[in-house]
Amino acid sequence: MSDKPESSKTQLEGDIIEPLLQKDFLSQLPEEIAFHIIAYLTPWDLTVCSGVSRTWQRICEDDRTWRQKCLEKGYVKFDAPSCRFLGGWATNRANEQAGITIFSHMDLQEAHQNRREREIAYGQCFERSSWKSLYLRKKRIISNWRSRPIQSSTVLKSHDEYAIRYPQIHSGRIVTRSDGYTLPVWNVDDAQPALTLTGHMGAVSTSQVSDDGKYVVSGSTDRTVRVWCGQTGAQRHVLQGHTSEVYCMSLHGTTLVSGSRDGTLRVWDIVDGKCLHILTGHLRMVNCVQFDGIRAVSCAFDFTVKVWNVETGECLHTLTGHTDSVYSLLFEPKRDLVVSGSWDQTIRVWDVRRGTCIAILLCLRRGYIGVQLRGNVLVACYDNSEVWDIRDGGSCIHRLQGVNGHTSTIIAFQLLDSRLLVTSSFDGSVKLWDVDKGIFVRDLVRLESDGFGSPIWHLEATETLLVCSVGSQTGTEDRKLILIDFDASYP
Amino acid sequence: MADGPSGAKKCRDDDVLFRVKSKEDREYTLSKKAAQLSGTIHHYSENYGLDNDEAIMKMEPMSLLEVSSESLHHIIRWCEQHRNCPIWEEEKWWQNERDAELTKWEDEFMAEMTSETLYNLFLAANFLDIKCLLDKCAQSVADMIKGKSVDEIREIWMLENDFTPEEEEKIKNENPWEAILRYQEQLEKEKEEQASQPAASS
Repeated sequence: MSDKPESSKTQLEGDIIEPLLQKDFLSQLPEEIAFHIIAYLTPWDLTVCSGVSRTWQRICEDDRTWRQKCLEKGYVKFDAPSCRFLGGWATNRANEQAGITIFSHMDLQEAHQNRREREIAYGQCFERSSWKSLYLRKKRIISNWRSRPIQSSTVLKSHDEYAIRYPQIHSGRIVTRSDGYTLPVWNVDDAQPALTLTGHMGAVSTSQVSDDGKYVVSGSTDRTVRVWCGQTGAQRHVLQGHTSEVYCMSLHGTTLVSGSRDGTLRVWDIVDGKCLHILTGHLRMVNCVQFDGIRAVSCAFDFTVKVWNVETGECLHTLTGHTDSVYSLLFEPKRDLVVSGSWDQTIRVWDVRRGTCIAILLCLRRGYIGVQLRGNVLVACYDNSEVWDIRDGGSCIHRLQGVNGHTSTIIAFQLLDSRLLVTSSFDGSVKLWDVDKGIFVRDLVRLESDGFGSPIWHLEATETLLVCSVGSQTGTEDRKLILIDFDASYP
Repeated sequence: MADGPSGAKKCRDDDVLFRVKSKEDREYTLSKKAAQLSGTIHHYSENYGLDNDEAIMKMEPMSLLEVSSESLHHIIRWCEQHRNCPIWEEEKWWQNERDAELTKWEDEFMAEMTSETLYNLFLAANFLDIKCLLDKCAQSVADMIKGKSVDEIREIWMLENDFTPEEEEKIKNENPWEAILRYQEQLEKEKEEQASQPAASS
């Protein structure tokens, strides 16, 4: 076979010497069998195979097969790709002049080329197999995070002398809290200010956007909860009743549960502005609350976690065991799981249906800034990040550190669905980690001041966007948000 | 020909035997339980009243005109080996658990197949509607394809590239893994160039 000239490799001769050759199982077997075969191929192999020939392409781009691949990964929504090209994205790149290093940022020419590619939101692959296109897009977004050059970034500067904190990304908007008692809101697509929610008479300590984007709610040291129109920024209601600072809140649909330094939680209807219940029982300041529409879970400085029936106002369980203040909380209603972090240097995992503690994670030191959970993987950060498996009583599987690690304490982090972890530290840098493998992935951002002016205090990330907030009242660093885009179009 | 590989289950003498005939008009027998693994034979039995041992013992051989003697021989070996397995659930094929010994037997069974035999076996399993064998065949073929590059696949299966160069370029661009590999290659190239530059200037 090797001495056969390349040019004579025709279909006819292929047939004659067939017994010697491998059978082309995909093209020659009936189609239903071919589909059966490709079900066993990985997405990577399927993608390679569809580049072999037209026949193989037709078979390997079977939409049902790709749908199955997407479902296995939990890719179910065909979100429209964003177009982050205009306004600030075009004119106000994060760069050294702004005191920011974005690692492996595309140069202007590459960025221009990339932008032209991105302008085609749905490519030809989408027409051949929409599910394959979805899968490849998700893969591309993940590789934009993990390894590809950063395509675009922008900086949003505070309008005044106040720092902008706690960015929350929602429905194409970023809601922030300013130290000047307001809530500045920004558009993501054109990187421009959209609204400023003005009215609070004290610092804004908590805020949330409703799922439909219609409402923004905020709580303040002025003891009020305010309800704002998400579109116009008009103040809809001032909810009064708490006798001290409103410290935390959780909104589900149009029902809001707020927690306060006065030790109570209040249940509100944000449409008509009425207080439905007052949940009493905590002895000290309520630190965190999570609400799933039926049950609310709250933790307080009285060392306890309480589970409430919000409909009736009744306390269902008091979870005791922590020996110091409980300051952070996670609630996963589907699995009846609650995770609480305490100053007693433990993180406890609770079954809230039974009201029992199912795991106690012992931490090396206090000062955790919070916990985040994806599946059975729990991440907690202080000097380094710790990755825990919460099953079977809980065990620490990774400590994220090493030569590429942070040189100072972590102050903000976000765990993504793709099991990537973004961390920010007092050393002025933002880094990316793989929590499954427990390894450093790459550097994303470094402030020229190395954090001495002010570090990145807060960060929030969605699947396709990272927002970092820099600057404090006292620091020398400009008060601003840094936005980095990781989105990709459908191929 | 009637003997399977070592360790293969043979039908016991007291089993009620089901009679089948290959394309070449050669007769084979297999146990009732093994025969029931085939959806096609199962339907045949229902339609021809072969629902009791007496009827089966009296039966005329069932003609399998699409199945060669060689394939039929392998099929019978497979079915006898799997006759006591729990019912194969196609909808949940990825959840079907296999015991280690059986998996080993299956792997040896598959390793014996040439491309041609496997091809015919695949068609026969499809015709006879034997779910577990179909799955195993599909898995074996998929294993042959896995991890290979486009060029390797074209060479092994003698496939002609019928894309235009433009189409090929587009397909490559769609592939996110390809894009990463190319980017990494580019980075390495740049590194090499940087490393070689000072040497060249001095």
